[in-house]
Amino acid sequence: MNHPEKWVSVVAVVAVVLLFFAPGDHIAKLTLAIGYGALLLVFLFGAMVLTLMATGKIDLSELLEEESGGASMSRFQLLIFTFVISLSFFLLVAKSNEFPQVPAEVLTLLGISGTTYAVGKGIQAGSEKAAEEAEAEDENEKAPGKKGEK
Amino acid sequence: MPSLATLAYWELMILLSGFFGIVFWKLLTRQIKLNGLLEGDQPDEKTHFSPGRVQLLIFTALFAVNYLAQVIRNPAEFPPVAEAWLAVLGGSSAVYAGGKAQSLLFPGLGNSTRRSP
Repeated sequence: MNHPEKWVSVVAVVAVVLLFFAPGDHIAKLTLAIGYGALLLVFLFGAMVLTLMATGKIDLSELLEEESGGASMSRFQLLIFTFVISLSFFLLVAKSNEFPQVPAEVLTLLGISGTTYAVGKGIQAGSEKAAEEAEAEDENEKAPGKKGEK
Repeated sequence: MPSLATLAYWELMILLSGFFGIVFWKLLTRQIKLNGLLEGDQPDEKTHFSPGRVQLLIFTALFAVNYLAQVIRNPAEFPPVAEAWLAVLGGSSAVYAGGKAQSLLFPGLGNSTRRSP
């Protein structure tokens, strides 16, 4: 996987072989060659990402972690919904061989999940800002006392 | 040679299974950290058990299993999501977000012994 040009060459060779040996006219051959080539390319990209994830070179340890530490419930919910919708989408396409219509309710569902995540982040940021302001006020109150002691 | 559609089907099957498998494996072996998933935050950086997070997890899991079962039973089109489910999940998320806001932004509103949502 260190030399992507090798894999691109493999795809190009497969496409050329298909171009010469596939039945039909030139346009049909070209269509087939592009189709198989694109599939192979997508598979190699996906396999590369999977390998990097499995070996830990793509670090997933903080996938669900909040900035303040600890796993985030809203991130976990978004992960579950993404799995459910993508798996459903794949099953529907495989069964019907056409692009399915995504109903508004499913989009609303993903919206609810995304909004929960965004609101949670907003609350977290607001809390940190309030804490910083409180610290600054404390320091300001202590400062005149120190001057008086001198 | 397999047709384009067959090849695409198996390719996606392998890639999706791989993605799900790796994420589940890393969740099970704690390589993706789940520490504190059910613990609410406090302004003083302490954490406590959070009922708000537990109810959100339960409703999310129930919905996910129910929806996947519907798709597997009838994979002709996306099954419609009942408005009741949307209301339950929206309400559950609102309870979670409201609890988080209360414990982080207005900690004085609850009594000191109350657990944060």
